[in-house]
Amino acid sequence: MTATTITAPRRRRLPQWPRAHSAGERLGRIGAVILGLFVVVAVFAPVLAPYDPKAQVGLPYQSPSGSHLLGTNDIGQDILSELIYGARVSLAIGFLAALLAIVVGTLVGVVSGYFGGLVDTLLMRFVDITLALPFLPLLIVLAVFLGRNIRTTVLVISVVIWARPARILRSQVLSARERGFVQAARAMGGRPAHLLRRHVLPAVSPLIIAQFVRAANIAILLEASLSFLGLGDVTAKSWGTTLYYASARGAFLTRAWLWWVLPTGLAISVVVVAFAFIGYSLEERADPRLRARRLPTLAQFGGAPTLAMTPIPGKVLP
Amino acid sequence: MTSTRLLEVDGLSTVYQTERGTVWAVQDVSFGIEKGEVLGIVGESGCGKTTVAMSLLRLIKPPGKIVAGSVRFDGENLFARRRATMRAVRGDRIAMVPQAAMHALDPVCSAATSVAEVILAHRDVPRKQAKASASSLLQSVGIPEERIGSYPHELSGGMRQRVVIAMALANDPSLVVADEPVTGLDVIVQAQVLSLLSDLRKRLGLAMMFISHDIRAVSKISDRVMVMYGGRVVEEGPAAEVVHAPKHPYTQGLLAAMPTMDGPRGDVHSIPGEVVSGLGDVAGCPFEPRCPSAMDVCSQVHPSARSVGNGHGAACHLYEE
Repeated sequence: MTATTITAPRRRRLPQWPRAHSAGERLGRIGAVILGLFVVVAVFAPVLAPYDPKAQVGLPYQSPSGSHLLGTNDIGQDILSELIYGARVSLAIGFLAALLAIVVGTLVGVVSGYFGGLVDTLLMRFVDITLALPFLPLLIVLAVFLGRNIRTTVLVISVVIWARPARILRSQVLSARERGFVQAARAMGGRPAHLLRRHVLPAVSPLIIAQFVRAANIAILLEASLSFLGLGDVTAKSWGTTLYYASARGAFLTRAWLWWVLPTGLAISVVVVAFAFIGYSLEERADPRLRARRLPTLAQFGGAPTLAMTPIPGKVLP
Repeated sequence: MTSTRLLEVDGLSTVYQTERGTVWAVQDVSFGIEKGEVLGIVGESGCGKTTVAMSLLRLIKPPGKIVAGSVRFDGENLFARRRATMRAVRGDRIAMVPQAAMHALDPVCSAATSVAEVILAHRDVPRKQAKASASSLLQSVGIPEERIGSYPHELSGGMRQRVVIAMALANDPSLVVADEPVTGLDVIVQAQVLSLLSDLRKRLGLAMMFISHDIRAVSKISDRVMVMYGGRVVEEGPAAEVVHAPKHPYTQGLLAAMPTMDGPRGDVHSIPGEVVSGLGDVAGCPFEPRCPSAMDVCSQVHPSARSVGNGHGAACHLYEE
């Protein structure tokens, strides 16, 4: 053999960003970056916004200019500042409503799936009823009935969205409770509460997170819908509220929609898409069967995830 | 005699209700375990070994149901206990080494945590103390000290099995039910785990119920061996006798199916036919369709257990007086 110079593999100068392993993971990262940007904007709104969104800082109905990048609204408030502050309200309501819905949904789903029997039947029929109700009309009725403020908005949204996570988690718990270590813990005398907290809940936690993201996504959309209909809290202007005023004060009749409606609408859409990306990526992680797929289809962003795994009834163990 | 018996199972029958009918997974099974004795239960898949173990601890879930029999443990009828108080027995006085130790450990709990959890489930001790006992217990089953904080995925199959054994021993049980503790491990690790178990048994004076489909592994560790077929006990006796002088044709077939290291080379035997489904009530002997020495009577009358030697019994018409 002739002597050959063995060249050492070239060192990478910069630490490489860990490679995404699937399309879903890439989407998830994109979504996280976008959402991160919006969260930063929301948190630092007082620093970033050029004006106080509640103050009259110019003439009404101004077109975009150097001093008002997105113009002014009907009472001379800066629209850009309104947009930036709106992120706070929209995201906060989204997160809070999702959190509440997931806490309730997880509780119901886990208890139902783990204990089964009559408890399961009763809880799941209640879930079915909630799922079957057309949620926008329900939302409107509840919102009108309970009055307009942020607390009721959060409550009302979580009331209509807790049921789906409950059902999905129940399916997953049905499979988790048959896992070896849950069975083993039961055989070793673990209390049901202990089994649930210590073994079942961690086993389904990836799904809980994925469901939280999905719920936040829906919550933000619902909040925008409610506010657009004028049923939100008018003292805390969210993106939906901005759209409500834009529509009510004739933005659609003039060219004002270009700077009043479009940026706000885009903000909502982009946040929702970011959430959908993250949610898809998390669901892919929670369910390896989805990993095989190359690219998500549109149905997967909006469709129900199929994570249900029920044990075959009547299966005989040796 | 009876007073020293730690466990006394009498006429145990467990069924599974399926869409195709009732499956008698365990039918009229009786046996006993003395204090400090190891009973091996052998049989092929589906013969009811695990169901016996699960029935003892009343872990049978619907569609399964215990329909007859009694289990006396330390003089107490476990089937008379209130359902809610069974939990206090499991993992405390009767410990289980569950089937498939690979999956018996929660991936989010470290070895020390897993063992400590078992202690905490039964003893009102501070968490710190439980962790300390867990760590010494793990070391006593051969887990090196630096590994006791490891998570299941960081441990080898043999180590995981050791952790599961430590979990079973956590509360000083008087009886350990080991369900296929060496299945799925390679032979060397199997030998290690077996010697660990027999060592522990000597050291702690444990009574054990050792379930396996490997009759040789069972005979190495057991005092007595019970052979099951189709949900029934077909032979029971001292380990050496059952292995070296099997009486029931099924036991003979099972032993013949094991290749030996010494002796002439040849084809590996297998028992023709398949395990009975257990559907419906078979009038005769469950092994009759596969039995090489089947007689007319075998398909009609169920053979009851008869003595075929000192403490050795077989349920077979061949040994009719």
